[in-house]
Amino acid sequence: MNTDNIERRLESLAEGSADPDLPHAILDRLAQLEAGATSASPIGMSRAPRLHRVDVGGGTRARGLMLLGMAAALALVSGLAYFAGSHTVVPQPKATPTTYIGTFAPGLQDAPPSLGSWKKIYTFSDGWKFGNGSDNVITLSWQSGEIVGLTERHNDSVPQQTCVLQSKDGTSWTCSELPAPTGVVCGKGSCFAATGVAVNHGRWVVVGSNGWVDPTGPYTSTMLTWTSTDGTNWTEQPSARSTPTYWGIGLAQVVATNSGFLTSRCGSDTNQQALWTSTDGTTWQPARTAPGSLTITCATLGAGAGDGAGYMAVGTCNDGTRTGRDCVGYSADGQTWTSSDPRDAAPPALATRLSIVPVAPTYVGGRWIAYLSPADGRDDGLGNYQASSADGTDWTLAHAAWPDYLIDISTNPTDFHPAAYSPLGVSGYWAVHNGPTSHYVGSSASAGYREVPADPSTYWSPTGRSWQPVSTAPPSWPMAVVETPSGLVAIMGTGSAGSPVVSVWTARIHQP
Amino acid sequence: MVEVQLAATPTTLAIHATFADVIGRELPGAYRLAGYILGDSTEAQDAVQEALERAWAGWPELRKRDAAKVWFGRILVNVCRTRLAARRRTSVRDLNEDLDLTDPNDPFRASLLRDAVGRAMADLTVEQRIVIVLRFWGRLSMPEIGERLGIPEGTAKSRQHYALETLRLALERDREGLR
Repeated sequence: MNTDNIERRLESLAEGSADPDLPHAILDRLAQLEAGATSASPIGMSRAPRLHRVDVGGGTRARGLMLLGMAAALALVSGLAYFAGSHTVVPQPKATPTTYIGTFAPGLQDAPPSLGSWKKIYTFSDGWKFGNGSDNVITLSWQSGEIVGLTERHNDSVPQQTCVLQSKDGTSWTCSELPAPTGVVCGKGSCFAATGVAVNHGRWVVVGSNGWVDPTGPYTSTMLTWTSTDGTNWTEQPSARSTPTYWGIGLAQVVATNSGFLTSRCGSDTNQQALWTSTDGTTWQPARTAPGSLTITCATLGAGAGDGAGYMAVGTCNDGTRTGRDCVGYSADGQTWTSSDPRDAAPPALATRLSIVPVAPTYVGGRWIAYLSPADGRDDGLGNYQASSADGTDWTLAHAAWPDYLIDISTNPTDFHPAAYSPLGVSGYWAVHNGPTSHYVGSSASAGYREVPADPSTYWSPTGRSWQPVSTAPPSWPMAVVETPSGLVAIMGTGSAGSPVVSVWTARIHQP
Repeated sequence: MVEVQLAATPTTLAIHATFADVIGRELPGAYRLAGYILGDSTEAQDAVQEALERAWAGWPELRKRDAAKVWFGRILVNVCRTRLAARRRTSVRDLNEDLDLTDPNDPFRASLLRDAVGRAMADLTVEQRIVIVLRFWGRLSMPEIGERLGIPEGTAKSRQHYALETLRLALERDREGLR
């Protein structure tokens, strides 16, 4: 028996599981809360006592009205999805992209490099044993001439340890532990999250948050920053903590720029700039918004390859009247940002039905690529689109097959696990997986799942979306992969719960 | 830049919607998730009510209303996590034994116990159990689970991987015991 069988049994069990009606007491409680809201601010109202599995307040008639009201609200919300803000009906367009959608031709490399055989080159045998189910390699990237990564471990009995990994070639590694945030005493289990690391001319920065330290609330996160001058000795910077706090629906990222560092955060304050810059990682300033542009309030970063390609952020903007509006930001230097909307390239009837997918934009063949999908989550024949831009602001749309065969590998790895994905390397993007049997790929929004063979299980993609099989992958469970000048390097666990062995494998890349 | 007229999608509507509009829609799914995380309808009902109250208290501070679904989902999971952790702090019983204390006709419990893989879920850690329920009963993708739990996606994947491995080992032990 393998874990694929377990997944299928779980799917079957969940599919056939009972779906009991929502107890009336919960609806009654909601009604009580909402009734208070109509006359007073929720902050100032006196809290009604909590109900315990008994129907209190509002009889059958009231509950019926409540249910009807909620159903009406649902219908209203669903129905209004087809109405533009101007109250004119927007027809549901069928996908006829060739009549008004441009051609997507970013000059992709059409053939993947070949890959030599995988060889084991290192085994972690120090304290980092990756074996208790809460350990993982969070990131792995090639920066400043070496492999840089983040890994963490913690569980209900072990305090969190987060480690900055360094290796020149994968054959030897150092692991430097991040200290707990200043003033914070970490107990058992997770205490903070480190989510990004960047190196710039000898200065190191790690960003993260304390997102789930206290399970009782107040459900806000404080952005945390650690700095180092050698990658070994780290100091948390309390002065760099974000204020006001935010609850992180986006994980903090950081990249090196010509002038220092650029980080993204996602704030609960929709007026707050999501992009911040720093020369040293200690003092941060909000990025500048170019004249005529919108403030970017939540962003997923992508960095272009090569000088002058700049930086792109996909997320939401605040235009003064509509907060949380989908948008894309571009900056040549990371300091000053120009907002745009790839949906401008589509006719209004189509644009109103698309949303920008908040995944990292990619840069390939001299063009930025962002992804769009049906805004209401229902395809209805609308299909998916990808937008490309040479300057980061003027966009061309093309109909995209996404989600499609292996297309979702970087955005929905649930259906293609265990697998690891690389950031953009010289050759493109890489993924490895070790499925002993066939796996399913696709997205939850797709009409159906497609089954792909287990081997070959190293994949390559020029865009990070459309993948091609290249060769087999090293055995055991892949946690991270990165392209280095000498080839691919992957960190692999054993795939066995409780096993302490984690090894490093490498394979040489041969350009076509 | 050409101004795009945004459709009044659920996302944009949520900005101006009331607490009941936004959170009310999430309640049936929240009850189901809580039921399968906790394995008990009574406790699930309490958990959803507790989450409701916490969400109500935090609602005025939530400016990003279009992300309320994820926000409420995270509150719910935190409440469930606290309840599961409290069970384990106050008792050395495992979840199987906890389940034995519940009503045998409880719909969530009965659904879990009808298959060995559901029974084996008692072997999972709290965090693993949450990920499995979000994945299979909540039908969330790994990025969504990471977002819901406020953890890196890789950590969510790791937890799922080890959860599946734990279930596999439990079932193999079960099978060997039957031979």
